Amino acid sequence: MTAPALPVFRRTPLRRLAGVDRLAVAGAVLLGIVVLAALLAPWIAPYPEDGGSATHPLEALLPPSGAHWFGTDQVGRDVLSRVLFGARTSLLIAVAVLAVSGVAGVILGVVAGYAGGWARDVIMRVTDIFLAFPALLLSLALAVVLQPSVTTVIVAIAVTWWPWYARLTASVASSVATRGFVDSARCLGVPAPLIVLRHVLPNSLTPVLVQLSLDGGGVILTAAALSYLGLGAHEPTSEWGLMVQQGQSLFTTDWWVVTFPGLAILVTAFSFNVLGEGLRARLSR
Amino acid sequence: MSLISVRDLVVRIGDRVIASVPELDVAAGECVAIVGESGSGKTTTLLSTLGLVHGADVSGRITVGDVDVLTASPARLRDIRGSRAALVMQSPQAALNPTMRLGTLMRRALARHGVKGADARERAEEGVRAVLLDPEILRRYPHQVSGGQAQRFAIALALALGAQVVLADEPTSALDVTVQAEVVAVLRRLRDERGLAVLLVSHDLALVSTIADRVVVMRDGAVVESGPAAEVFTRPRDPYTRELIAAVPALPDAGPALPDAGPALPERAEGS
Repeated sequence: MTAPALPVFRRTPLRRLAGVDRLAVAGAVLLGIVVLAALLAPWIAPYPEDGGSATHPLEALLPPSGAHWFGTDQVGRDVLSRVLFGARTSLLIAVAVLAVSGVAGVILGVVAGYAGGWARDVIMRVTDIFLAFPALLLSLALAVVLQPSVTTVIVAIAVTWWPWYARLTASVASSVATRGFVDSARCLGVPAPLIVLRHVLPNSLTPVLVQLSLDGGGVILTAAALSYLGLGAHEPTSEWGLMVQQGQSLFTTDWWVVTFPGLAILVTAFSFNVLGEGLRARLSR
Repeated sequence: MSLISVRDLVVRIGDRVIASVPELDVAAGECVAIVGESGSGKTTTLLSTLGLVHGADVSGRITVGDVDVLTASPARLRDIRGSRAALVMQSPQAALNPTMRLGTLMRRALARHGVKGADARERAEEGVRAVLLDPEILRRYPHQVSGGQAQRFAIALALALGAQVVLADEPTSALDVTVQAEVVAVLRRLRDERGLAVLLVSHDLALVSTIADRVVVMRDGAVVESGPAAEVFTRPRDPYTRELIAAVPALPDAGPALPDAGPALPERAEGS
């Protein structure tokens, strides 16, 4: 008797997409639009020079119209152009912070998790010290000490951000380190650094990747907060937090100056969050 | 000449002796089984032959080929792990890194022991064929192979690395019965045809009786009996060995054959 052939299901790109939560797809699409806007800002912005220091005093505070879809700000710059250029600043900050803190946190975490013993104790206690500070206050203190700039924002946020990844990676890595394939690598004579690199690290990354995508929104919000407080990006850089700060006093009379950059922050942070949530749901299956 | 030789091995944690083995030799083409209940020290004995017991005091003399395991440098120990004696673990799939194709794993293990390029590819395929697997399996990820295939792959890896001894720690207890038979058949064939030595740790006496040439019975860290398998199974001297054998539901040549198994089942249920 021969068993009937079972139908073979191949994972085509389409099926893969259908398996993903629709909200996550929406997040990815929104984020994709923001990324495209950032990349193409100099070409798609209606008034590219308004992304910088150009001023047009005669056109100040015009409401949204065909010529200026998002209106103009106090010095006559096109708000749409500045929102598009602002996407570059915000995404640059998000990517830089996540890269720096992610790499630092993962390296420290995986070493702590695999090595255990005193190495783990030292790394985790330092991590705890950083976690003991309220994150925004530590970022603020750093930003005050350093010169206000985009680089300052990146450093100030990254310093408070890495301990989360270190702790997450350490806990995952220490459980991965007890799994059979790590033992079997040891039994094949693989030296410890290679075990960490090839066996522990790749199997510890998933939760960190999910956390990184969830945190993108948080970084953008924090960066906006620092710029809003005058500690981050400064004129004439296009930055959403800075634009909100400059426009807030005008909200009752010229609502568009503050609303559009505010919406940009909202949409970007939201798209990071739903994308991260979708990744988590998918990868934890 | 024996491939693995253990003399006066004592493994201690604090004051507690967890394994004490006065003498154990494994020669080419021979299968030696260490049997005993959980906590009897059999796995500890197995791991100590490659210097893999951590957090315990190990004394005595262990040699693998010409290497004195207890005095060798960590680098020398890493060199012999896999290439002289390779471990086959209890749960085959857990022993494979889920992010690596089997071929990658094989290639890296071979590279670790100095075999690269076309030579490595050839040895990988030869090893895989020797355990009756299709070399196509090298393109798969661990989740795409069955438990039995994974376990045979572990043996193939040992062969490709040139190991003369396979250290098998409960190699079949995570597999179902038909697959167990498959893995045992492969081990037996390799022993008979290539002179592969097997040091087997198991509490499954039915399995041991089908493959072992010699048996070492351990209890509470001590060796209570050892000798040729046939002798130990037919004329056990130690009361503990007799107890172990009596506890086995059905050794292949003991107990009723299948057609009579019906009425025998309730009796066994009462007895256990």
